[in-house]
Amino acid sequence: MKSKLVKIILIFLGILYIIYVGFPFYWLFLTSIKPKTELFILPIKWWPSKFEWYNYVSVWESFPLSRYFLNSILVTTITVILAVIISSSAAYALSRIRFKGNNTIITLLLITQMLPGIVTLVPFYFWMMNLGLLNTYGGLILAYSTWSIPFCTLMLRGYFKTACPQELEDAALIDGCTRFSAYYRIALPLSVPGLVAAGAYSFMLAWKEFMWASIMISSGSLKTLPVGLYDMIGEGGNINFLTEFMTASILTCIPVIIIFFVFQNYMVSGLTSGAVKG
Amino acid sequence: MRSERYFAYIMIAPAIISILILSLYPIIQGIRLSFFDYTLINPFKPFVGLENYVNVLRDPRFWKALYNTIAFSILSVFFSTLLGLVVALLLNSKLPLKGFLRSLTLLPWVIPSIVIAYTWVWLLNKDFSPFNDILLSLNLISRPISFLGDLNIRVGPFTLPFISILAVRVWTSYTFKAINFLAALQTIPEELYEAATIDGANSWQKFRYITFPSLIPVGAVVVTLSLIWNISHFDYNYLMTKGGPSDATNVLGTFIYQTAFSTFRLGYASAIGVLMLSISAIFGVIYMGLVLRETL
Repeated sequence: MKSKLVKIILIFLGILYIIYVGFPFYWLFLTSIKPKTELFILPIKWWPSKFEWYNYVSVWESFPLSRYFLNSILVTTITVILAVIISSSAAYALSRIRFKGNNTIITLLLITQMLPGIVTLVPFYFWMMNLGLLNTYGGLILAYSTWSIPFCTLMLRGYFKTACPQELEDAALIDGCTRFSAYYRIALPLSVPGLVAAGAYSFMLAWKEFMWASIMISSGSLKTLPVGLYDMIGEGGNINFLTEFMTASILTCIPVIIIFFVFQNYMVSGLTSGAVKG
Repeated sequence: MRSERYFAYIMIAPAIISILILSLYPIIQGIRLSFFDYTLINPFKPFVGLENYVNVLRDPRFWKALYNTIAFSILSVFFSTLLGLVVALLLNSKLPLKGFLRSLTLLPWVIPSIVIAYTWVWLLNKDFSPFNDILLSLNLISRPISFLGDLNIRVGPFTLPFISILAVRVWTSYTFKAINFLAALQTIPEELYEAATIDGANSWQKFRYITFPSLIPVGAVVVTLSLIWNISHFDYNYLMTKGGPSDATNVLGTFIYQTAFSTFRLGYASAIGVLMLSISAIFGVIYMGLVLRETL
């Protein structure tokens, strides 16, 4: 009797929770699919009279969405490749080899991981200007991969230490295998879940980032999706192109949601690795 | 082994060089800039010592932004940690569809902030808000409320726009806490609860003496880290209200951004940045103390 009551309360809380998290997403989708004539009418419509799927076609024509997609895909792909290569090699050395400065480097990584981006924004802008990287893909890629490195390196170091057995590499080293091939042929293939988590982290960072991209990209043909979305917003905070914004938003979210659902277990283990011990 | 060491340095070099050049050098530059009268309009950049700092500390907008930053940080961390704890307990209980609920929990974390911000701006607009629709039909209000604009509605010292932004920030940030608490809950051995049941402990006692203590280490790390992130928060306060109306939601992050990229007073903006960095550093030291022993 008591356990039945507990179960009912739990289910009630579960439903309440689904509404809490899901309702904004429902409204986002609803707005994207409403006929434009039903956006600004009273009483407001909680369900459209018909699904206007054509909204998802016309947005590609009224905004250079394919260009934004291409830019985001390019920037994100190169960021992920760079971040994973740089972090995994650093993490491997930090986890396997004792050398002078090992602890200093780990401390440095922890500090940079905490640095607030907004503090460096002004000097970073001028630094990029002096390097001639404003308004280039390179300026975005360099920033995003550097921002990914501290978290990815620390996470992968933990992965190499706990989940990737060292004995196999030791045996290979005794048999005359070099350190690099021990890393490349043994440690890396055994650490695919960790590499996936690191890749997914840098993917999210590069795909979602808005502040830096909005400051440094002024040319329309280089805009990434978040900056492109911002073009649909008006100056006074009104959303000038409401339907277009909502449809483009959903299209922007689809790749991250797919990546997220495929790799979510890896990502959760990566996300929690910083805070949970053991 | 010497060759091993050289190998290690080569493997680490790309990571360290990029961090030194692109993360630490700008910080040092930022600290340096804060001692100069550096504006985009003025070609001369005279050294002014602490003048920028003196001016910042005399600026009522700075104090307002600092007050808002602290209020947002404490309230947002408090409510999101509480909500994260409740959600983690819910996801750890015998609930149907747990896998689905866990995925749903992570959803706000993977969505770009610009999408979340303007979805909420649209949800909270005055004339066509579903919330106003509900409140009106329940006769709780007589005319639509402007959630992001009305400074006359207050709860205690906090205006409605402040509360609206706070609610959105809690909605997006409890995720991180919930997932970390859930991971910690799953490491508690079942035997502890079984033993407690045999000893006649009730549910509250089990929570108080088994669950809660085992969440404290994770909780400490998560709270400190969130405080650091919240002090430098920018996204929602900028995207949803630009810090307005009348600075009601202006925080240090948005204040720096406006000073640097709207009025182009770069030395001044850097001085605010250094002050913000000093506040974060307090929590940074705590975080390092909590994490470093585990990491090294």
